[in-house]
Amino acid sequence: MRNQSEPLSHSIGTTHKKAGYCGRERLGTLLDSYGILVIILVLGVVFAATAPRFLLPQNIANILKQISVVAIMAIGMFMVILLGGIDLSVGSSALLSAVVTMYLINHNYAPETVAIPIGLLAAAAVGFINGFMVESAGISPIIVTLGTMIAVRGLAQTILWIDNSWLWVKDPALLFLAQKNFGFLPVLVVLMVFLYALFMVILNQTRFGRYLYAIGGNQRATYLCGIPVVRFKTLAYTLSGLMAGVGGLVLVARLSAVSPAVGNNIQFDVITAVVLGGASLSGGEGRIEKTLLGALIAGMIINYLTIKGIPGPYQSAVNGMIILGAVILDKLSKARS
Amino acid sequence: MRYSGNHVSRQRVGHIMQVYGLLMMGVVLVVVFAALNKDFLTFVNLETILEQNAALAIVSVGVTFTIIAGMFDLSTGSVVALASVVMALVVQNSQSMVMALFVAATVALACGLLNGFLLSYGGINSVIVTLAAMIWSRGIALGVTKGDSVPFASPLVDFMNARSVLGLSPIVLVIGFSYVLGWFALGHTRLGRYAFALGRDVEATKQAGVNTDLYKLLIFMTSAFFVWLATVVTATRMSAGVPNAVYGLEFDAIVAVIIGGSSMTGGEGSIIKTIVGVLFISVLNNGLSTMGMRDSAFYLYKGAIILVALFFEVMSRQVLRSGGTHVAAVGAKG
Repeated sequence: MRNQSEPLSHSIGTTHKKAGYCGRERLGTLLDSYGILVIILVLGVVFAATAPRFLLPQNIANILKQISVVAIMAIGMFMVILLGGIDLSVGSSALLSAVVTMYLINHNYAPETVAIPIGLLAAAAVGFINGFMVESAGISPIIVTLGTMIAVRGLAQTILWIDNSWLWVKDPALLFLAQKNFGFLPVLVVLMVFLYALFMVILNQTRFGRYLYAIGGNQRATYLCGIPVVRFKTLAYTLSGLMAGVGGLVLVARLSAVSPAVGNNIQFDVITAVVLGGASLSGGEGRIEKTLLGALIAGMIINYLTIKGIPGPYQSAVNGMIILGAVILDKLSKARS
Repeated sequence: MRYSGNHVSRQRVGHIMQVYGLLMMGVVLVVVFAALNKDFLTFVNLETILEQNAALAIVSVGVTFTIIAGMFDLSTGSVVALASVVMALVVQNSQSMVMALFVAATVALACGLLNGFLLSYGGINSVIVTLAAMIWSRGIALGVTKGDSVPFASPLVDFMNARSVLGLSPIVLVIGFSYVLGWFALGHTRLGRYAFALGRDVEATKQAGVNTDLYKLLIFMTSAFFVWLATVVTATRMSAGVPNAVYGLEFDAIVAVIIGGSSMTGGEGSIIKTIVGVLFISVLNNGLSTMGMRDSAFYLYKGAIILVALFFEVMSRQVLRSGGTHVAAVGAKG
């Protein structure tokens, strides 16, 4: 099913770069996905050989749980990066949705069925503001989302300050989501896989997805085709905010508490996942399923470093270098083909 | 291009907003802060504002170059932290300030060289390269020191913190020196001319026979030089290398340059505009923090005011262009 629409959406995204032969492109796409799987396999073998604990089922479930928050937020980031934008505000939106939701629940202002949607709406609203400022005012996305990153974190911390900067998460639904297992699989991982499946369909099968690739590939041409570019881009930013909100709720449920530092700097991990997944920062290129693999690579490396007892700051230093390594590898492979 | 009927007057409004908009907002801020805090408008506080924001002021000169050339440097704050930590460690271990200054310069310039090399000869987006550098250099700074600051003592520290060189603090003099140097390099050297050319059209610049890769590299080395100056000022002001220092400096600097009126897609800008932007952010930082508010409220107001300033800056630019579709406003791609 998916393969039928894949060459179409893919070639729309890249026609301005290379005149596409569908067959060759499909082969190239296959090799691309294959490449990232090879990296995962090689890393897996090396890590398992040097740290036997790495391949224990317990540890693998642990890795999947650890990457889930970043991976969920990376869905939104992927769409924004596909459009040639970037969203630095996702960490702050995550905190905002968590604070709003837990504030409403803990003060008994609203039941969880109302509070959770309101929290998600708050995060989506941040995304909408980003999209509006980027699209309608024409400000560079990096600057806009930087501004909202600062302002929204300030707003969320101000609300959190009412409760002395600490809110416990005791809501059973959220705790079930973050801390329980379906047999072997954590519920959280099931949620992550479900969201990826959903967005794979949306991005690869629907008109919305095709338009996103088209806009990322050549914004002006898409606009001249009569497609409401501004509306679609604003929607992508809004979805990025929404996914950040989902990630924020899951994150605080895993931690069992909301503190002012929740989600601080998580945007860099999210961007790392998307870039490791091979998406181009100039837009129009990348696959959502590879973003998940990108998050997995980063998660494996961090997990391995933790097993080996490397302290946190060095882990983040390694994280920075992984981004560079991934982009350089990507450049090299493109230069060869 | 579509032209509206009263094209000329719209342009004039846009021009006035462009030139005076931020100054007016700045004046409003100063009036508000002065009304709320009677110590705000004293000479001592004005000097303090400059000293507190010295790193921002100095780094912004280099950031002006990168933004005019159509690129982003997100690594400045982290590299200041890394270089100041290394500098402090060298002073602690060798007692030689000259040696420490030299090593700090090496660290800063090496980071600039690596970034510049990757984004010019490697052809990688400047946002990604410098974002990675921002993460790894802060990580190393925190890792080497285990998160603790590294205190040191030196005659240079006493000198920099003395208040009376020619009636001005040495830190203010270093800031002045940076701006004169930046103004000269931007307006009167080949480096400055090519920065503008790169920001307008990289391909055309290349066609004109300019070694664009080399000049991109040199522009990042220029930024690294100002990062080094900022490192020296930051470390001597605190008489320590602090791995958590100047957190968010890179963002403040970029915002200062852009709300000052330099174009975020490159090709336009000046040192004077940067001065206005830096003063605005500095007044904002100082004014908000002397009002004694919590960190959370501080960030809320700061972010909101920055967004409003940005909005006006960009709207004035659009009014000035008097038309053009939304599609023309594609995000900056380094």
